[in-house]
Amino acid sequence: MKKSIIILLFSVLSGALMAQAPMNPKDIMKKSRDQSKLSGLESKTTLEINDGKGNQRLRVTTMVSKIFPDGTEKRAILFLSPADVKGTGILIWDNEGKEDNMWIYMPALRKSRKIVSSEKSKNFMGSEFSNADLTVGNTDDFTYELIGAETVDKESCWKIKIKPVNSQIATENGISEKTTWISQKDFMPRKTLFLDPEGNPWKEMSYSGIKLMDAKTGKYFISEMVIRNLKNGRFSKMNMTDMVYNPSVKDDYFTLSYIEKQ
Amino acid sequence: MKKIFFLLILAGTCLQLRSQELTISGYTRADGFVGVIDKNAPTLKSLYSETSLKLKAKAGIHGQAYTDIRFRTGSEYGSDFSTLNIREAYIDLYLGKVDFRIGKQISPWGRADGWNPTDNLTPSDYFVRSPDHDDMRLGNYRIRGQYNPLTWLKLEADLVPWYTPSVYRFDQVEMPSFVTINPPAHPGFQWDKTSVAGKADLIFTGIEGSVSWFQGYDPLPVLVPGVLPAPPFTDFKLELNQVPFRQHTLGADFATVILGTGFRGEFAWKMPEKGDNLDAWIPNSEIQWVLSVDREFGPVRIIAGYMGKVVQNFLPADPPQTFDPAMISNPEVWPLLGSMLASQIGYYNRILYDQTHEWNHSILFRPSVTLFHENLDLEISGLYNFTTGEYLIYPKATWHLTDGLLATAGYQYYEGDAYTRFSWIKNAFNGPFFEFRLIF
Repeated sequence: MKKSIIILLFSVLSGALMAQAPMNPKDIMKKSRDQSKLSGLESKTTLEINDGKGNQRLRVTTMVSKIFPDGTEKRAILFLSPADVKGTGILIWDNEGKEDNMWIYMPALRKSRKIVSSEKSKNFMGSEFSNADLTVGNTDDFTYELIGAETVDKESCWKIKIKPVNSQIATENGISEKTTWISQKDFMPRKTLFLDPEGNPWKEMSYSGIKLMDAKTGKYFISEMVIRNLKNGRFSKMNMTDMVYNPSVKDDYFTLSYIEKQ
Repeated sequence: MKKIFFLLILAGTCLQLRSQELTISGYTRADGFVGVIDKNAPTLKSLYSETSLKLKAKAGIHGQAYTDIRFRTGSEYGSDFSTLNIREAYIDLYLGKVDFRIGKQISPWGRADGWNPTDNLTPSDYFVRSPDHDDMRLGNYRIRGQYNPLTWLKLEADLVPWYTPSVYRFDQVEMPSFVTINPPAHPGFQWDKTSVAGKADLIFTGIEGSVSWFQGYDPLPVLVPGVLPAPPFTDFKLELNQVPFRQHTLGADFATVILGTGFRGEFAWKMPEKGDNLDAWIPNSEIQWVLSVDREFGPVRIIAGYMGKVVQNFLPADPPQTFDPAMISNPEVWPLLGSMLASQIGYYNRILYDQTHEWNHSILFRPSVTLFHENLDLEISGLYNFTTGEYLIYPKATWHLTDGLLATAGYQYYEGDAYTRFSWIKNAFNGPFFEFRLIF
């Protein structure tokens, strides 16, 4: 009995020490990345685009995603509003170590079209989010430096400076560096500050509504993100609702036939 | 009591509609096209309003129904009109790995940009006035079956029991005054002459493509002379009929992305059926190929394409000399009249099917850019035919005033020498246009 208590105390203490000890920043980022990769998810997303002058536009989509046994992450995104893009479907096969496959189905085209994956630095649907901001990304594309610890939203966080490994990655992502604050409790980000190619503060993204989707595998999901352009006052908000963690989501959803039928 | 009964029926209908997920969408637009033939005297070619109502009812996972009804009113080419057109009305049935689409539909084929020589199932209205390219497509009654035995394989079979011809407004083409071109004749319904087509789509991780076969009526009818006038030709008139002909097309296409650049291609070998009384008028067999590339450079997207064609068993022919009806008062001309008219009509058909030269090469270039947080779309399409010298310049700007409310302005400029297709249509099309559209 005593032995069991000692083992239990040891494991609790070591866990607490681990959380506070300065870990390798790359490992922190890798863990953060891995635990936000869900094996199967269905959700509805509302994107608010604000021009900073009181004008707002809304984009509503539904998304299903699944990670397949070969490591390919497939996503099907369907646009519900506004009316001029309603019915548009996007199918993405995020291949491990290979170029991604992407198709778009537009009702006006009447057929699916294989397209070049959008550039990472490009704005997502006219918002302040770039495509790179919304993808998990490859940890090897950046270098990481632990520059301190700060509290964000009452959460103790590691402060990590992230730099692209070369100028090509920097150009692709449209940034010179970024600083991110990762929670020491759940390893999920709370804030990221982006510097533009000239090294000036550019955008700030905050994360909230962080939900533990699967306690067994320790998978989390961020349900709300707000990004502010510090230069022009524009800001965009992405809110995920109706989230269902479903590793057995049907394979048929990730086919051209599916996005064409909607 | 009656009121309660009515409310009950209404409630029941609403519940039924909800269970079937009925959605209504569409648009209303107002368009204007100005014709600039003489720079000092622009004319109004088209001024119309149109509402499209799109109804979609879903029956769970088993199928859906779709209808696109269009109401259009205004004036075009000098005439007032008000029309109601059911552009599409079809039922989708989903039976596991097999899907059917039955009814009037538009389901085009082909992966290339600019030209789709494999698509022989979709008739076109070549004279529709609209900034939206899709409006050129016409629906036809079709039974389409698709079978997905494997994730990377899709097999398709199509039947078009009732022929719908493409629309070519010869009344808008400069023709000799003594020529009248009648509306397309219909071949009627014959089981053994139903147009049929099949396609196998292969979709792999890096590349996708298809091979296809079509056998049936070409969407564009051929010009065939009616009863030839007889001497002494006091009131000389020539009637031309638009007569459908049958052909076979073997097709293939592909699309892939290499190093951030999209490559698309299409190939078609079209073989008209010979052996009946249309042989003198129908086009020769031809092989057509298309290669297009597209790439994004920041906010700029560029599509470039090349189309080549070779006409088999080609016999050179010069454009016919202008036919003067006055010369037929000379009886010495009468024996030659048949061959003169045949030569002229034959050349018109060559123009219609782009067969005036044995080899034909065209390029397409379309840069576009989206600015101001996706609020302004600018594009310019340029097309040049190296063989005939025809070209098109077509700039267009669309401003998204707010979600679903768009303002578009542009200019179409076609140019070509005499006896080319662009010289036929330039008077009808050249000029600026505008459109305001609200999508709901």
